[in-house]
Amino acid sequence: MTLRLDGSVNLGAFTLKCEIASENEIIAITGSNGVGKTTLLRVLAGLVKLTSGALVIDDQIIDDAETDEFVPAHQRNVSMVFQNETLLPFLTVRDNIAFPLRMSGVNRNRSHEIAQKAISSHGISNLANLLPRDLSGGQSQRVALIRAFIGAPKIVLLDEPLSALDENARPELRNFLREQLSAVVGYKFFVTHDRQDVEKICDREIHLN
Amino acid sequence: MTKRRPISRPPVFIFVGAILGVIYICLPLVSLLRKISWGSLLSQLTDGPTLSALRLSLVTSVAATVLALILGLPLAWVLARVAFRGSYLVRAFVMLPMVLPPVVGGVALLAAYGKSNGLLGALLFDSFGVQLTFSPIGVVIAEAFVALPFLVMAVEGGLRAIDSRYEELASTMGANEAKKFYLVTLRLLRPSLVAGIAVAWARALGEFGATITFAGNIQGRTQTTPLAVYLLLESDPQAAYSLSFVLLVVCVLVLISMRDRWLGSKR
Repeated sequence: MTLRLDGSVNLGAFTLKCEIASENEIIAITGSNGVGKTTLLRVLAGLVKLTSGALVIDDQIIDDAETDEFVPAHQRNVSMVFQNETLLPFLTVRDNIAFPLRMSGVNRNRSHEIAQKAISSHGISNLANLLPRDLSGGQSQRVALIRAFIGAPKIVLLDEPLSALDENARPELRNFLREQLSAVVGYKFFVTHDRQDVEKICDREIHLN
Repeated sequence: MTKRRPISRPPVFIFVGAILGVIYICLPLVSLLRKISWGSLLSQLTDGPTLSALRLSLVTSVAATVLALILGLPLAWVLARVAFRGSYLVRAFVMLPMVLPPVVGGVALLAAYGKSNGLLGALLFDSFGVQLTFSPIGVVIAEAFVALPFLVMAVEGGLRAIDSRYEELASTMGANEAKKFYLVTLRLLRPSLVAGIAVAWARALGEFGATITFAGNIQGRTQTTPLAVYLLLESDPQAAYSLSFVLLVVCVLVLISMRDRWLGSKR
């Protein structure tokens, strides 16, 4: 079981070259602003195509610039959490959490049931029927993180998910993340600037420069 | 964020000009209301020719709006999201009916769909015996022609304003292109879509020049409410005022429903 990325992306004036191999582990992606951390996640998610090289996951070609083979985002079984604005603004907390399940073909009632269970087990039942605009930043990120793990993803991509939160809210979510990420059998990438995140959550660090 | 408003008083000539502007718009509207005989309003509106004009207007304007939506949504999509050479030219052509004298639009429609020598119309008539001019379908075509740009403009603006991250997010959660469109894009687009539909419908309902040129003024067949108003002004001014009042009320209602969009909120 391996993920191998060896290639580059050219976005106008910006070029990201990288060579990464990963097995079942939590990898911290660090590096200064503008170095291409988010772009790397977008390549893995299937939101950006490689300009050269290839991405191979479990011996299957996912993205190959030479042959133009490309598996689109919705077929990659990924789960991505942005720094903010990660919840669909027109869906309630429950519907947001149920969304990946609905997309994978689980029927409405069953997906709501599973979502409700997750909501209750995280002690946020009072938020179930609220819209994202009624949540605080911390609550939004918590919901986004619960959703990130609901559909048993194979690739988890976290783009500074804790950086918008205040210092007090982070330790608890770090524990939650470490626990959830460890339970995922697959490829886990965590972009962060925070040394604590690297040390407490991740197994290995890749520094981009 | 609301812009800070200057608290100083404007110069007198600005103030006077602004008041004159309001009067300029409101005086004719208020005068129209004064002319209406409220007691016989209902009977005038349910009178044979008046009622048939109202009915025809309702049906054709709704059909024209649907046509504008079917053509306008993909068009707005392409203009907002596909980078191609000459997109500004396409946009200019699509927006042209907004500024074109409607009668010129009608003449152009005749040149395209006229049954005897229209570019496409002659072919349709010779091959299938279909005549678009001087028919209710002609009314729909004329109305959609002038309404389309209003819809495209509103929807294109809406599409440009959507944060693409939500759509990307939906992809990563397993939504294919079709689901992403129906469940996310269309949902985020809803306010602009509703605004576009409302203003396109209002424009179609009030269409006069292109309709009379292309579809004619046949009572019960192509005579829409604005055309009826024009004719009634000679024969039965009272009925013309009543019909005008109906159109005015509809437009005011459309404007009220769009208040957050066009009139600014009270914040």
